[in-house]
Amino acid sequence: MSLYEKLGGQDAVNAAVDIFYRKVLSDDRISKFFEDTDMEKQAQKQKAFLTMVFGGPNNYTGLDMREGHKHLVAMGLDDSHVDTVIELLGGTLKELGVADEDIAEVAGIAESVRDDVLNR
Amino acid sequence: MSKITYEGQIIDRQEDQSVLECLEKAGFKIPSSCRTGVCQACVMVATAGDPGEVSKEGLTPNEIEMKKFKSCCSKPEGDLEVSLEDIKKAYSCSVTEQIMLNERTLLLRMTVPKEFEYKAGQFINVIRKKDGLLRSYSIASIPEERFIEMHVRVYEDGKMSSWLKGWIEPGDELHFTGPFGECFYTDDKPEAEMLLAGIGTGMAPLYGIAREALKSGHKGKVTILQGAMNEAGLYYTEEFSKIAAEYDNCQYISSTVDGSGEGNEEGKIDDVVKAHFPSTKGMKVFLCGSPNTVNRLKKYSFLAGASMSDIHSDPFTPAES
Repeated sequence: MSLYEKLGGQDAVNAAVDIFYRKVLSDDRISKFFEDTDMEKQAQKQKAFLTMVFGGPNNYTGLDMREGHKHLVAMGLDDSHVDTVIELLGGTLKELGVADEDIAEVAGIAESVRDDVLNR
Repeated sequence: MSKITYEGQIIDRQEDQSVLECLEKAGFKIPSSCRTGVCQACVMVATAGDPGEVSKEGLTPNEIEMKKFKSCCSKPEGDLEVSLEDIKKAYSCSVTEQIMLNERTLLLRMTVPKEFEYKAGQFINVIRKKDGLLRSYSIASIPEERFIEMHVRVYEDGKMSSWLKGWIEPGDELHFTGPFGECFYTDDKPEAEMLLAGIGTGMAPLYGIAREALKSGHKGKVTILQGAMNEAGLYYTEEFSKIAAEYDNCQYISSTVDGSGEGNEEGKIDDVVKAHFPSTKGMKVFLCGSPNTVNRLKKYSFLAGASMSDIHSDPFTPAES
């Protein structure tokens, strides 16, 4: 069974997106990067992100990830902020009752896009 | 093999192709990302035909009513006509009533054009025929009423609003397209508590949505909350009070920033909402008015517990002039 299936597929993504996005918006360490975004569009992007890190089907391209975060890097986005996102992702999954080893696997996938996000 | 109509072209779709793949093969660029039905980047509107159940999984009831579907997972049995835009049709109607509700809010009632169907809370684009000037206005009436009602914020230098106020008379013809928007009631959670909060002419769609919800038997508590700078900025308070009197599960709260006016709560609408709803968990929330206020209230409602898919909003952006 794939990680995505184990986590519960699309239903898991739908359950996680509200919790995860709420954490992101209320965390003082990173909330400034989300202040002027359209909430509906942002939730959609979070869904695509969660699907990818859950090991689900995606059309991930490093290029999209770079383009999408360029303006944030210019605003000062760095490793510490990526750390925070991965931390909040872990917290979200914990709340949903996901096993530690699966959380580690998700964090690993998120880790793999760090350089693309930070445009380096 | 079925046929897909898009932008006036008829394209043959192979059986194993999704609508998305078929359109791309024909050279069209359609936004897409995951291609498996999760991200919803490829959502289109089926203007005719049935795109199939699978293509609607995960969409909100509002989106499904708007005939939206995910083009990446639609393999329709029959022919399909699709569009990236909401369905647009042009109508004409005639003005029947024209009253100032307060210093700057004009009420217009018009006849309902034949075949025009809408959901309470949606908006229309009014078009001035002679020069094509276009402005969006929410509908305050509900479909069972025999008129369309709009509340127009009158700006002194507003091209459309001053024309509607000064030059249009009962009996005159008005042209519009629509309906548009996803800020309307669906009866998927009849027990959920509902909050409808707005300022200015944002009260127009809320007037429609609240009545539609209550008439269709919504069981949860319904709170209508109107905010204004001062008493002169409020309007339709009697109408809203009447709804609250008619339904046991409905309450109406009016508030003014300066506390003016008897029976009004004092404070900014944000603070009034927060005081009454420290938690919005499980609630259905409708927010209408100026973009800044709507966005602040939207963020608050979400952080206080409401699910993103239960928050509906209709921000009004005034045109340049």
